[in-house]
Amino acid sequence: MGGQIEGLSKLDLEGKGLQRYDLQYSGLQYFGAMSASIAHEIKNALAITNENAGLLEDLSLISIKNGQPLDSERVAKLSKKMMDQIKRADNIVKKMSRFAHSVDDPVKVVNLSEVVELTLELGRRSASTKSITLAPVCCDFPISIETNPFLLMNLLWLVIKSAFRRVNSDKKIEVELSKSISKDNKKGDVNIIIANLLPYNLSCQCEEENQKELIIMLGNLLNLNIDMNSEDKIIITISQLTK
Amino acid sequence: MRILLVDDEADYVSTLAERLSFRGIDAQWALSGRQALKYLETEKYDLAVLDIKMPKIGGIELKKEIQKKYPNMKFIYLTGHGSEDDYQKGVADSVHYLIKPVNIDDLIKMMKKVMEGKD
Repeated sequence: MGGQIEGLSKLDLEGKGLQRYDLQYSGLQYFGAMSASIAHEIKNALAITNENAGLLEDLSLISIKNGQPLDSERVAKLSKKMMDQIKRADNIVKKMSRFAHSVDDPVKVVNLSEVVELTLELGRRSASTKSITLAPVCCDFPISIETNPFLLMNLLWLVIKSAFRRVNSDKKIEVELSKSISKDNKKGDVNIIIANLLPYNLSCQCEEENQKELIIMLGNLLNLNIDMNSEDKIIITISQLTK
Repeated sequence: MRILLVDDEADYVSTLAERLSFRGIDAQWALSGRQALKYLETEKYDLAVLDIKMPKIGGIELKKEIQKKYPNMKFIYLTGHGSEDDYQKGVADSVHYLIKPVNIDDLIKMMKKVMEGKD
């Protein structure tokens, strides 16, 4: 199943006044938060490389001083550690590049599971500071959708962040993708399910009101239906036309 | 000088501890706030070098926990950010901080300065 999201031929923000500002600000906040997290990860990789290079230098100086050869096994291990960190930093930069390019086109055909996985990968550090694990996306089939990738990632992240308050004792948030096709085979739904959550607590409603409004606003803009009141999950539904 | 390094990056903190030991500094390392607090139950340290951003207990929170039991212990924060926010947190806490990647000589200079109680 592939296809076009109903009604999303262009993003129409005209005449939405304050809402437009809210969305832009939310987008900037998301971009800023993810950029800071990426910068932090790169700094960590650089810091480890720096210490390993420094240790290599220390060992060289000690070996000269003592008139003993360098331990080649140790040198090889340190080199491997440095290469691992370079690989780690390169992966982070690749993610950053994909994220940065998500704003290139207002509407684009994307692989949904890739977009969701990138959102989770970028958000993992932020979640881990709250001891929350974001499990890999559970999806074994490709789903192409036409959407605004950046706004979809922003929405998904807002939803996942709202789920932080509802994590179970294992503090693990699961994200699944599923699809269903209507009986007449003309219409299909794709669901992004944020699962393994505690029941929705109505007492949280006031605190979350602003965030919820933003989520609904983004959902409307992207023609998505968001059910945040389910017992143990949040469901984002994308209605598609089948080809 | 006996120091405790706390950072969730094992490769970073273990290598830094080894390099400090080459310079005559007795450094032990922990990968989490919880592990650091456990070490503190049996070991004595003069100074703790804490990463600000760590899962579960961050450096700032950990410092508060440690200070409850060991009010005379000294601290240095390590951060990957180097943001205005981190600077303000350090100032508010009267704690010196260094931005990763650190130069080991700068770290040792700062350790000595902190131990001597100089600004």
